[in-house]
Amino acid sequence: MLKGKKVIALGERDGIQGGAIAACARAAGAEVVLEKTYCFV
Amino acid sequence: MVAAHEVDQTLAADVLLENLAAKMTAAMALRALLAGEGIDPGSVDYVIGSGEEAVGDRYQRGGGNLAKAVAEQAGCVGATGVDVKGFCCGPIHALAIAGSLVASGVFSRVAVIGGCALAKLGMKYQGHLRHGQPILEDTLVGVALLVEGDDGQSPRLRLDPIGRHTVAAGSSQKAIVEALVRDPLRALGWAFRDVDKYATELHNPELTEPSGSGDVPLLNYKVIGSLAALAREIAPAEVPGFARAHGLPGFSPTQGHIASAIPFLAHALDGLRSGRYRRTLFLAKGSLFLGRMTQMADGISMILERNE
Amino acid sequence: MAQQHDREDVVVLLGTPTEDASRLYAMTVTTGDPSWAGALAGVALELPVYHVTEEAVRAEIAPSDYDEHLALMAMAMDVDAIGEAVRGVREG
Repeated sequence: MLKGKKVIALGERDGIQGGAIAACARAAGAEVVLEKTYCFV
Repeated sequence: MVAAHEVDQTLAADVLLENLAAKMTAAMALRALLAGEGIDPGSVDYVIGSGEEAVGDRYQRGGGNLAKAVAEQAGCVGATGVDVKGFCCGPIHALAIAGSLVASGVFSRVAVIGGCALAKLGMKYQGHLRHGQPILEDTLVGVALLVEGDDGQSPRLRLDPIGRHTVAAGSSQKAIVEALVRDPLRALGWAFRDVDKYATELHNPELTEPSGSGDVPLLNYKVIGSLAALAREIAPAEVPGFARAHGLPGFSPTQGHIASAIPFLAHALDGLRSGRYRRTLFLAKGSLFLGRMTQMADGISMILERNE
Repeated sequence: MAQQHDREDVVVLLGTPTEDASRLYAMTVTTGDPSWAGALAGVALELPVYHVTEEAVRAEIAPSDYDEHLALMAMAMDVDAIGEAVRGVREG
């Protein structure tokens, strides 16, 4: 479900950050089209 | 409040009001600190600002040094100042710099100050109103800290080591917490449990839960506990207990640079003096990505220990 | 962005730390922003959304990547409740 897909990575600073999701997605063969980290506090 | 300029948006009335509020709350805190400790304001050498406000005009929007305006307001005639900018981890960065200036003999008495954030009043009001609650974020806060040489009694700032979320640690929570907590502890030969209390983000969950943001202090403590479990220092089942024993309930009525670890400082100083605590670790994080110049966050940690 | 790319190719991965936040963000990218005001208010994007800690996602991530980027948070967060919340929105 990731290989060849376009991923929108929505992370949270104190959770799993956007960059971490993006790194995993890319390594799994996806293209990351949007990477964002939110700040909940 | 009146705008200071016809067209310059950085001098609009609301901006000036925000900056004035930050200045005066910081000045109130500094005055109260100096008066309470019986310290001559004129003996302060340097004031470091650590807030998130932006003082400037359209050609220099973040020019800063609100610290000097605060020094002037508080009667610190022997000081100049500077602002250290780091989103919510500004104050701990400022504390590290203040400690370094004193330890190296550059200055003897350095104040770190931070004023309120008018912009953050009612920040999460949508969640509160949706749950039939009043707008709960209704507090303006100012803080002032004083750093001086080791007097043999007062709690000590450790400058060896300081935890840093480096660029290399990137966005991996594990690498970040290792850099901020595990590495400084390892350098001192301490276990995770050797720190009596960790102070992290301390925003009151009663304000964040209605908008779905959860209990951020508790999450941060569980992350530290989980790292201790990965290091086989405790069992995974002991993580919630670790969070309770070594963590704190969130009690800051607002978020921001003051809510990030700093609310525990006064309590830590009391506890470290009385012997209730021997070692505390202050860990602050900043959401640099909000300024769109990087995708990264930042973090810095410092140890405050009993003077033995 | 969802208009730019063919919807079938796009998947949203969340890193939100709580059940509530995960449900909120999942709903935002499917049925439309449920909060009072947001850029996506009322826009039904209907994008497939997963939390990055769900089994279906984990199965495609190399163990070394999982260990470095996800394992620690998976211990600290309530991944079961989070997964259920996102699955509920995705399949509901």
